[in-house]
Amino acid sequence: MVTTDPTESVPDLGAVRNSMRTIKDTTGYRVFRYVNTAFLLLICVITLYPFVNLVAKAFSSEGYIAAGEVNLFPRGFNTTTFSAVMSDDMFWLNYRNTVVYTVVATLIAMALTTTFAYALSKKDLKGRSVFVGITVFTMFFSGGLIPNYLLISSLGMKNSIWAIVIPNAISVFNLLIMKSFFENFPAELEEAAAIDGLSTYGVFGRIVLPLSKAVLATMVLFYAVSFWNSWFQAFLYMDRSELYPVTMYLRNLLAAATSVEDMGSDSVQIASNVQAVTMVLTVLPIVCFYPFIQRFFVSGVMLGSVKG
Amino acid sequence: MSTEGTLTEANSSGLDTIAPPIKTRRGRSRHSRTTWREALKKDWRLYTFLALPVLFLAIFRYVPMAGNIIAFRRFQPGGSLFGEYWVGFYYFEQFWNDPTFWRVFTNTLILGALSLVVVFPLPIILALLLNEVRTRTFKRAVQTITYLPHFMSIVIVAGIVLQLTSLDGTINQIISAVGGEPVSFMQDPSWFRTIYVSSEVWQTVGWGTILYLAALTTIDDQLYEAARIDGANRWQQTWHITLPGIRPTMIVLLILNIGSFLAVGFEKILLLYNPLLYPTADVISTYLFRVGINSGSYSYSTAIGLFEAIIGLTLVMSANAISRRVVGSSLW
Amino acid sequence: MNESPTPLSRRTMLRGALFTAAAVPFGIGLAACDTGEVDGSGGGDESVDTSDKMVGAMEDYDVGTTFVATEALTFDMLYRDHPNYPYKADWSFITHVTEDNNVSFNFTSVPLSDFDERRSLLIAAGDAPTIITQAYAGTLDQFVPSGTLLPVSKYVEHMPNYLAKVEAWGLQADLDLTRQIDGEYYVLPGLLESAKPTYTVAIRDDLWKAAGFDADPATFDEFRDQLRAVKEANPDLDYVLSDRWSTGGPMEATLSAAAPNFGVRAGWGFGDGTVWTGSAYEFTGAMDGYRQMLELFASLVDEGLMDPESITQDDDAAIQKFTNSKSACIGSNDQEILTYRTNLADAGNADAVVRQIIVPAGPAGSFVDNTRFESGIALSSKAAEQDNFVALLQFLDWLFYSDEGLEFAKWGVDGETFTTGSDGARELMPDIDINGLNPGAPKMLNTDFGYHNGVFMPAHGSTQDLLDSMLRDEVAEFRAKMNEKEPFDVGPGFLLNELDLEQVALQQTALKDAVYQATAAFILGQRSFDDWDAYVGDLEAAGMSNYLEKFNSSLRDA
Repeated sequence: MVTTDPTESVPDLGAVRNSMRTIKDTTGYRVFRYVNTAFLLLICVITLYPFVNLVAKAFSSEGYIAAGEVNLFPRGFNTTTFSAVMSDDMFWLNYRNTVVYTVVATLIAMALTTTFAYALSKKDLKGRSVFVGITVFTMFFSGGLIPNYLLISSLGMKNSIWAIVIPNAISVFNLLIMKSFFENFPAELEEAAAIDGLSTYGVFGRIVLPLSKAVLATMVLFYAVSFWNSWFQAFLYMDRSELYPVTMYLRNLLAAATSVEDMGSDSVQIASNVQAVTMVLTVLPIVCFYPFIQRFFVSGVMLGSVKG
Repeated sequence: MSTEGTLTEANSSGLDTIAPPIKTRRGRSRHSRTTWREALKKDWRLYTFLALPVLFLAIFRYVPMAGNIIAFRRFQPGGSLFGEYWVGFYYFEQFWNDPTFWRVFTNTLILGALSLVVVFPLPIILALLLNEVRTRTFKRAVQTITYLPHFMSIVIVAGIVLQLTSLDGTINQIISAVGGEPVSFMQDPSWFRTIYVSSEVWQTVGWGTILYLAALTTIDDQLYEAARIDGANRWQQTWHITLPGIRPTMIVLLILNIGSFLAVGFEKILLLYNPLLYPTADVISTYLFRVGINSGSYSYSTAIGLFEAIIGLTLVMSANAISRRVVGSSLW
Repeated sequence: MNESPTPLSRRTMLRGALFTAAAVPFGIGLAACDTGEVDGSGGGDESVDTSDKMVGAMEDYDVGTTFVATEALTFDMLYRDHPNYPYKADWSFITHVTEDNNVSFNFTSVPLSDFDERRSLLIAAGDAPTIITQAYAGTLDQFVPSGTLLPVSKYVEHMPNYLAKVEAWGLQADLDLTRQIDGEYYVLPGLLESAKPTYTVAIRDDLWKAAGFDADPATFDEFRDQLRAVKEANPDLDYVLSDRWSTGGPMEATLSAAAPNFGVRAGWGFGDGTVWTGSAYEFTGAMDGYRQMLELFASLVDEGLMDPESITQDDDAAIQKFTNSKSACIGSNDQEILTYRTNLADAGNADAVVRQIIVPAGPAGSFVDNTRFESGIALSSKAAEQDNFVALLQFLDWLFYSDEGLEFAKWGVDGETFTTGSDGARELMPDIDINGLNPGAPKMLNTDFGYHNGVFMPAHGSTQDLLDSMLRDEVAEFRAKMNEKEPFDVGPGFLLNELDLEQVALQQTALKDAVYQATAAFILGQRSFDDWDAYVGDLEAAGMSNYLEKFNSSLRDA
């Protein structure tokens, strides 16, 4: 760790430096910080309000929702929809599915994407531009629904976890971002490690990855969220409701609430309430998960270890 | 950049690859004369990293691409995957000569471009603002709250927008309160773009900051220290250290977004629009949706899809080339 | 990082699409095959040899026989999983079918939420199960050319109950209108003895009575008068009518119900926009009747009687206004009216009485769109290769078309789930509920037993008797009165080949867009009716004549 010991630095800046090191900001900057805080608070309110409104609706009764009287607080507080949903075994089964799918898919995706990105980040690699080219090409050209369906079907992947975790394993978007990060990773660190005798795998695993925690954490978040929210793959390839992820379950529930088919009876969930409940149930886990990711957003690359 | 074994290995080419970092990082590959055998021998580990992903791409991306042939052959749903007989450019001509298509194409371009121009810089600014927050809990709280809209289902967001813009919705209430006439926003085509872009901003700004915040952590703190010592104020520090520090991320995202700007949000527009708004709100995907309800014209939509794809690819390649020339870094 | 961006998440449009398909008279002949003689009627009923496909079939199956497979059979079926009654393998329905009919199912389960898309995908990819349920003739025509669907009309001789009902209810002519270019039809529709007109307007009866009106308005002009009076008597109403169901276009439900009375088609009933005028097909958007209809609604907006936002607002906003008594009239069907009543009660409004009115007559007379086909069954062409093919047909015939099967699918088993009184009236067992017939009962007929399941009961019983058996009186009355109106003439129908069909689809979109935009503009008063000719000129420019020409030159032979 490198420290700046003021006594070692150029002495004639002493006074100026001291004033700066006492972290006394200029007035201008202080004003800015207050304005900044206020502005950020405003943004929070704007983004949070609809959410609070939604949570309120999730616990309100239909009459009040239909009359548009639910604002920040639930009116006619009840947990009917919640209990109806959570007492359904299928809901938990599907929830478990989602967790499994998300974890497996994220693992596979991260494994493939990071290794691929690392390899591609080496500008000396022969054929590199070809590889990047064929990757970028797939961002624009895709086969369309039916060819993909037939492919997965003929590979025998239908009705299995593989239909969900494999087809979207590499997101070119994420790949290119990661590649960019690796390209800007200080080469000196890698070289130093190489000189110390590490192979490529070693450099990758022991030096690059641990120091790229912020990026990796971000990518894990992106992938995990994307897999968590996805229902399309399951919708295409799963023929049985036990295999659905919970997003499919909730989407279906919402469709039932707005469908014209069945006649009024107590067990029919009411539309706007179901929407709100669905949202809350889907978002909650992510909101809980995010703080874990945030922890990784503070570490930085320790350049100091390579001085000289 | 890999080296095999240790320095004791009598492999002179291995030593040679420890080239000065700066030069090889910025330039193109200087080893274009290396043959494949040499490359494989030197970098075989890197190539192992490539093997599975490339296989993945080949199977799951390139194989289905053959299905695009139905843009040139007539496809009968339920029939052969590759269509029944050649029709050449029939479908391309069909949309080329269709005035409605050009109208929706223009709308797509405009909406996409507007989204790009407005939505792109905002997460950066927000990330920078967040970076100035000293209290960690506040910073984290703001982060978490601002990305929440990203998770709102589009149905709900559309509902919120419709509610806000209705004649007795919040926006009109504010307008009346300051003495203006209520505006029927959702019945006037000239407002749609504003409404759409605003809702996009609201939904994506928070989520977009995550990546930039991650990028910010890679900037060496020492640079800030040094700058401060040299007398730079916060603004100058931001301009000279922070921004260049996240520039690679910005470039990548910009290029990627340019490439995908034609993919304007289908579901949101579908939920927000109505026939009165078609002149500005109707985009390619919503148009195809209306066309396709009963006719299942896969060939037609594939032809349009290819057209869009070519445009996107060209845009990305141009953006990439420009970026390389102007800024020095690029996607590839 | 992105979801597949295909335009397939049509959940919100499903209702619209469903109703387009249902309300569209099969005058939309549509599609098909190559070449061949255009034989629009009769054709193709010659016997096909099926003697080698009799595994499990009954030799003496006829009307009145209960189908019992001579061997245990399993059929592949597309099953639409509805969250209100998620599939259970031990359902009474399933066990009875296995035990009594010797048939079991192999389901391909598709969620309700995107059922149409998945079904289309399965068929388009050639991967559809043998029995395709929830099939509407209109939506499946696109699959005919590839031969992936079975020309089921060739085999109906094995379905005596179906044929009997078609004959008894006079549906052969309607059925013939669904024949494709090859003379065959591909969908076995759910049959209805009488039509089920469903959409209309619900009014606050208490306000109407207070203004002095006891009876339904006989004509739209009278309706307008009533609205005026109600508005005068209740000045704190924002608007008398604030409509809903405008997601796909302006007031689609209401216009769809009103249009036949003006001699045109609109809203959900727009379809391909063709209207038979007795001698040729004309385009609804350009007709005088359409103008008259628009003039009526424009006058409502002009006089402040109808909320201009009806054209574009989402359903929740409209319902809110009705619940808060800011409006007194809203589009409705027999389900939504229950919701309105509950909402008003919850909002504390005990005096409010809501009822539906019969759709008034218009200048063209008193008409109703009375399609008598519901969603039905289509078969994959692979079915004809199975050796239990005939048994399959017989089973489907029994379950979907025989009186016994229809009752079984809707009510269950006599003695188990319901009892029959001496007067023939059926009553559910006291511990079973459906549709609010036994409120508070612990079990549900569909959720717990599997009966009254939308997949097996698409037509809700088909026969008038069964249909009425579970209906609330007000609904039964409503339908009966609506059916007193004259049926709207759909004309002889037409047959187009596939390429024409594709082009028609494109033109149709352009024309419909123009009509919808103009509809909104005219109703809102953004466009004056002096402009009408200019508007028709726009339609011409969008290719209206050419479009009509395609239809008029390919009429079916009567």
